[in-house]
Amino acid sequence: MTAITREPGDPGDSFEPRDVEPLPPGEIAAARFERDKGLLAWVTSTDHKRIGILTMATSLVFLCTFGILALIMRTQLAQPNGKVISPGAYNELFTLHGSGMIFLVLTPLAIGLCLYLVPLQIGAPMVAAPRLCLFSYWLYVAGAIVFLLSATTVTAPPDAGWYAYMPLSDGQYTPGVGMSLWILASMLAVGAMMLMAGAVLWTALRMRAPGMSLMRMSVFTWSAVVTCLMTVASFPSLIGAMGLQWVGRVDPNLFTHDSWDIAYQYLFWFYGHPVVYVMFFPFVGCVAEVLAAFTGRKYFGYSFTVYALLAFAAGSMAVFGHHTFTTGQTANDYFSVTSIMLSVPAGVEYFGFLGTLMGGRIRATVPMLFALAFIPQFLIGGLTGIMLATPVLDYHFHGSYFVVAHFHYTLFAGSLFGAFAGLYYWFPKATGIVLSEPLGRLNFVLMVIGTNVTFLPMFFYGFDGLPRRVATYPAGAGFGTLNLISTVGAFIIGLSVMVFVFNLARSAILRRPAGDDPWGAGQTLEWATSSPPPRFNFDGAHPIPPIKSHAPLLDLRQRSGASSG
Amino acid sequence: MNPHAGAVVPAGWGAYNGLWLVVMAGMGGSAVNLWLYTGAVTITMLFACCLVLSRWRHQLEASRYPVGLRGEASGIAAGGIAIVGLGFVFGAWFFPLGGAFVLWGTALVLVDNRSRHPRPS
Repeated sequence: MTAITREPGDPGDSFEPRDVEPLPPGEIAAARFERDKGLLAWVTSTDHKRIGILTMATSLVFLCTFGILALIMRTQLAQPNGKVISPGAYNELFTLHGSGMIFLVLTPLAIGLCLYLVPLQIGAPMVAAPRLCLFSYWLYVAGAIVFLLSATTVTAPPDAGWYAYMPLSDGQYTPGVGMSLWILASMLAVGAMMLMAGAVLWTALRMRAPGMSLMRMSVFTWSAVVTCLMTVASFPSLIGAMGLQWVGRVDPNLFTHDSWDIAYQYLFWFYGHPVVYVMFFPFVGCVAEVLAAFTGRKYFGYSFTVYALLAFAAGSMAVFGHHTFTTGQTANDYFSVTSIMLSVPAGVEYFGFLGTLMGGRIRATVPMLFALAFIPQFLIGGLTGIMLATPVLDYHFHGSYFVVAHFHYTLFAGSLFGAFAGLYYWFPKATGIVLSEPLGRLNFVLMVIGTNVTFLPMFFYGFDGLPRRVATYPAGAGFGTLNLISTVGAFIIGLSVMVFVFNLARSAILRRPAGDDPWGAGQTLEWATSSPPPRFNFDGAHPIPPIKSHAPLLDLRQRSGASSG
Repeated sequence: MNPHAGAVVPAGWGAYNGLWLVVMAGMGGSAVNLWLYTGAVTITMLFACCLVLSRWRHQLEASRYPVGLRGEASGIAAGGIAIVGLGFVFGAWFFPLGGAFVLWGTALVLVDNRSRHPRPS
């Protein structure tokens, strides 16, 4: 009955064999586990795969929604003295775009991917606390609904930016229910992701299959572990900050001293900086998996990469103060040193990427193309981050489009390209159907062009002094041409996303079956099971293979190749 | 193999963060910064402790179905919490409504837990 293959001497440090036995079908039916089909079955399922897919799908819907807001803003900025929308509406749009992308798109996309993949990659039959994970999903949806409600309030939609600094966001300067609803929405969405991350972390550390020791977990799973550690440790800070802000809105006389405004900034950025890495590390993991799979070799420098991820994550908790250099009340030396030191573990990760590529037989599949583009594009985001971590330079760049370019190269050209690499790579596993490669390549080409045409010029007009969050700029200031180029690029990105959506729809209609490992290159445990995987991930027809390294399926192929050769 | 290997990860990571905390204190970090960072390290260490403690409960859990059957409870409770939150914006009359949903979800979970079957041996 057991689906676990346990080799003599395997460590199996965390899970007794009987704990991972899949339940026999009769017992499952008798226990009326779940409905199988229909919308209700999906939205009430405690299966980590379904909750993960729901979370990712919801976040992708919001990606399109808040992306449209960005297109409206870029249209406004295409010409000097733009009059497409009013300055007030522009403030509302950048607030909704920024906070929506972080609270409702990239964070849930990252944590949802972890929720889907981690139990599969460690050979666990389920996630720890499945009901809590479903609760988290619904809390996230509730947060999203409240967020949209805040945007539709006629009197006062939120317009204080994604970090809602005090006193701009207090009851005196931003009155009305819109801002209050925005605060509630952010608390719900962030709290939801914190709970979900806690469950994923618990699963990775406590529910590994026999043989799956810590140093045999995949690079993606390690990236998920560090992501969830940061989430659990840093997200409570935002909930605290928003709670205090709420109190401050009820009684604006409560927090009147300047030190409160600075303290709010610390509370916010103690969440706000680690969340950038929460939105980044899982996609580094995606890139690592894709690079290893499509070079046909084990990931280079695995141990170094694991330790670098842990050090990177810890370091990223220690750098939050670099966002407040210009307040004059921060320990600039400390935060500058720690921020610049992040380039060391980042360099180790890049060494792993390049080492994996060198000497490998590269297959230029769509996931591989996105992974390859991630490497130089994120490098631009990372290197400009070092510039911003230097206080003397930050005083010049602070509040300019240079910062906008930097974080879009980090989160869009970096994270989202990693996300697309992962989506194309694991889509056949999750759905059992394949996406079109030609359409995927078109999606890739348009997205590379659009990304660089949009965000690269921002470095130049940011350096020249165009401030962010301005609804327009005067003619003759020299910003017109580059802004027009950025706007053209933004619409190319929009086109590329439409190609992606069309690809999804076309595949859903054609339903070409994927097979267990459609790439013929999978190295981690999820490729040993069916596509899509069964309810408890592995069964008698798809047992967990022996786990001898972080790439058990590659080991298996190499062994069978050696024995047949 | 150490049965508590999993707990070493958050404990070690928390300790490493503790090191940065000490450096921050030495380099003039403000009180708010130090309290925040101390809080994060504490949460991480508590997570590690929970992992160790849960090991002792594990045998009991293993004798029952580990999957919650009633997913409906999660949605109902989450909706209830959101409605309670709306009470802070629109008025206290949301509280009993949201509270009722939370209680309903909790009741479903309790019923669900009682109906769990012993696992096949």
